[in-house]
Parts: sequence; structure tokens; C-alpha cells
Amino acid sequence: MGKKQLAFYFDSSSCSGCKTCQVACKDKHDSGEGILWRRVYEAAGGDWVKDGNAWVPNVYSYYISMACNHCVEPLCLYSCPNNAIVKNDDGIVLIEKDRCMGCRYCEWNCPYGALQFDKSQGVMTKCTFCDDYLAEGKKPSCITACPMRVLDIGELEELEKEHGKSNEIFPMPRAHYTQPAIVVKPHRDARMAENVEMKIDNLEEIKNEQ
Amino acid sequence: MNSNEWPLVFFTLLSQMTAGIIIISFIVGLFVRNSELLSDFELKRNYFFVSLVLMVIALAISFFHLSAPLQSVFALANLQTSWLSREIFCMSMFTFLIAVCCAAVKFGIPGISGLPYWHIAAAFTGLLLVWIMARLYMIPIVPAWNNYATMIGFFTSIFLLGGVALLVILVVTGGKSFPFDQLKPVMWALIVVVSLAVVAKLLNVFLFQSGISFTGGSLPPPEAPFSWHVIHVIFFVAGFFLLAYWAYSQMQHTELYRPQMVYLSFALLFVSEIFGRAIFYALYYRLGM
Repeated sequence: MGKKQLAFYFDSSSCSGCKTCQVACKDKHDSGEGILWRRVYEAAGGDWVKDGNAWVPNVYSYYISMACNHCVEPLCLYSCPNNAIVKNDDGIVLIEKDRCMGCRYCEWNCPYGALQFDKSQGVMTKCTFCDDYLAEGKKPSCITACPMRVLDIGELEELEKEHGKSNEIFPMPRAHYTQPAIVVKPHRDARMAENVEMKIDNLEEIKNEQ
Repeated sequence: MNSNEWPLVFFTLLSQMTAGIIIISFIVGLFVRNSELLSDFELKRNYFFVSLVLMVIALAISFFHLSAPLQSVFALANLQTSWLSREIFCMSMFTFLIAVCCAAVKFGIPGISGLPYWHIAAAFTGLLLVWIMARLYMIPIVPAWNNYATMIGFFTSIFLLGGVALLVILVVTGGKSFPFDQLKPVMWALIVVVSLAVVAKLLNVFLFQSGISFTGGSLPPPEAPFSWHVIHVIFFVAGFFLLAYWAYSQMQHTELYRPQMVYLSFALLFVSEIFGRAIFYALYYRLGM
């Protein structure tokens, strides 16, 4: 890879879905109404299965905590006409708000829902990896707030060496579109991306409709 | 469909209709070249001025889509990878070339008197603009858009709206005194162009359907209101048959036959295209989250 690329690590197998990370992010950045830079998706699936003479439920669910994945190939950055989206030396994808004209084309191009429109400012916003905290030697607010310690950060290459390359768990898309800088330890019931038997159970809670 | 996408509906339709007027007028001009009809047709070059007004309106509408329009000064900063940047550049070039054509017709400015060359340049840029527009929407993670139905749909709008708009301009410009009897080849050419666009539009329905029926997304596929589909189809059928009836009747007459029918047909087809485009935007959904 060569260049430095910071990445998130998320242990889905131990996540309790408490959404403290989501709240901590919102609290730290004081993000506007409807904006969730980090969102916890409730993925669910299953059906009734026949067990002898009885039909029994075979349902399963797990959580995926997701912010911007600061992708290696960020489609948002490539699509922005104004060059308002940049990738810094740590591989963090950032928005320069004073260059954003609010066309929202980046929003269409991001398969992780990371780009979120702030109606009050009239510009796009997104996860900054808490770069101000990083400069102080601290970790992002979502990570330090997590009571289950399922979130962490590190160099993408090192995380992949330690945990293996796992970055397309449902409801994530296939990784080849953007090469997301994230490693997910899958839940035992996890399904792969583009699985047609599963659904997101808390869409109303997480969607940004601004 | 987000409310902020309505300006895009009108912007794309108006700019595609303008591209159609410029391209088709050039093609028709080729057909009638070296004949006495040329002077009749070329004297009535109002379509350049109408095109310029349409592009200015389209550009103005496009700003309503932006929440920070003052930052659009940076919009050409990413020609290297952004289709939107390329679209804005091409649209600016297209508008500029139409303005040059207008200047050449109106003022006969020395140095730009070679109108056909500017017309060729404008027509080519118009084609390029619509191709770039289609590529802009063919986003890899958007299954409903990322197929050739988008490309065909946009080019269909060029020839459908552009063809009928040119007919309207011809009728409005000519009035009763216009030599419609002599201009039958021109009108036939326009009718053929519009008919081909209609056939392409009908065939494209199946291609578009394959895109929206993709089932691998984690988000539920959106739906456009049923009433939009009804208006889209009914207005389209009514507009096309009215136009066909008028064309048939006009062929039997030497003078202009009931121009109101052409205006009404144009209005019906334009409204149909508005709802068709709104359905296109409403069916946006992406793979992933």
C-alpha cells in the first residue's frame, strides 16, 4: 500500500447494540438534527424451519456500527466537482466546507451513507476520524465511549494482518467499489454483502432525510 | 425523491431539449442543403435564440439545486475524475457556442460568419453534453441508473423533445405565410426523428426495468407514486397521437393546419417527460447502507 491509511476496527461479535458510539459521536461534534456520522445498524434475518412435526423460529440478528470508512478509493472524493473532499496524509477523508456547494453528488456515490447533508449549514458533513483528538494523541470519541470495547483504530495493513481482511458483511456493500479502510470481526450469524434474505430493522432511526 | 431534486428534473430536460434543437436542426439542415428550401429554413433561425434562452433558464434552475451556489466557482476544479465537473464544463461550452451562433446570425460578426462550423461545434458539444450527463448518473452503486437505459433515455429525450420543439419553433416562426408545402421534407424528417425517439423510449422501458428490479441491496427499493406513472404514460400517448394526427393532416394541406395541435402536443409530451424524469430520480437507491 505504501501510504499511511488509518482504519477502524469493529468487533461485531461482541457488540451489544447499545449505540453509545453513535451518541458519543453526535455529542462530540454537536452535529445537527438528523445527522448521524456513526450509525448502528440492526441487521436481522431468519424464518420458520420445520423441526420434526413442529415449525420453530430460526431468526438471527447482529449489529454493525458504521461511520465513514475513509476508503482507499473514495468515490465521494472522485465525484466531487469542487475538490471539496480531500484525503490527508493519514488516509483520512475530510470535507473542506468552504469549498462545498451542496450539490450532494458525493451522497449519491457513497455506499456507506457516510456523507450527510447539514441543512442548517447548507453543506455536506462527515466523520472526521476525530482528527483533533488524534493530534492530541487520543482516540476518536466513538472508540473511547464504547462500553464493550468493540471499536478501535489502527493502520489498515496491521489490522488486516491481525484480524484478517473482512470488510463486506451485510449490510455493507461489496468492498471492491471503494476499498473501505475497515476490518470487521463478524458475528457468528453474519451474512455476506448483498444478501437478499436479510434486512435492516432500524431504517427509520438511522436514515438521513434532510 | 428528495424535493431538492426537482430543479434537476427541469435542468436536465431543458438542456437535453436544447441539445436536441441544435443537433436536429443541424441534421435537417444537411438534408435540405443545396435546395431552394435551404434559404427558407435557414432564414428562420429563431431556434438559436430560443436555444440560448432555454440554456440560460436551465442554468438558472440548476442553481436552485445547490445549497451554497456561491461555491460553484470551484465547480471546474475536478475535471480529472468528476463527471459533474465535466458536465458543468461541457454545459458552459455548449451555451457559449450557441451564443456565438446567435451572434453570427444577429450581428454577422466578422470572423464568426462561418455559421455552419459553429453550428457543427455546438451540435457536437450538445451530443457530448448529454453523453456526459448520462455517465454522471451511471454510478456503480446505483443499480437503477447504472445501465444503458440511462444513456438511451437521455438521448431519447433529445430527439423527442428537441424534434417537437423545433417543429413548434418552425410553426410559430412561420405562421400562415410559411411555405409548409415546400417544407414537407423538413417536417417529414422531424416526424421520423420523433417517431424513432418514441420507439427507442418504448424499448428502453424493458432495459430500465431490469435495473430497478435488482434485489441485492440492503435498503428497500423505492417506488414512485402510481399517479406519476399514469400521467407519464397517458400524456405521452395523447401527445404522440395528437402529433401524428396533425402531421397526417398537415400533409394534406398547403397552408399551416391548426397549429394549436402542435402546441398542445408539445405541452403533453413535455409534461410526460417531466413525470418520466421525476420517476427516474425517485427510483434512486444505492447498494450498501
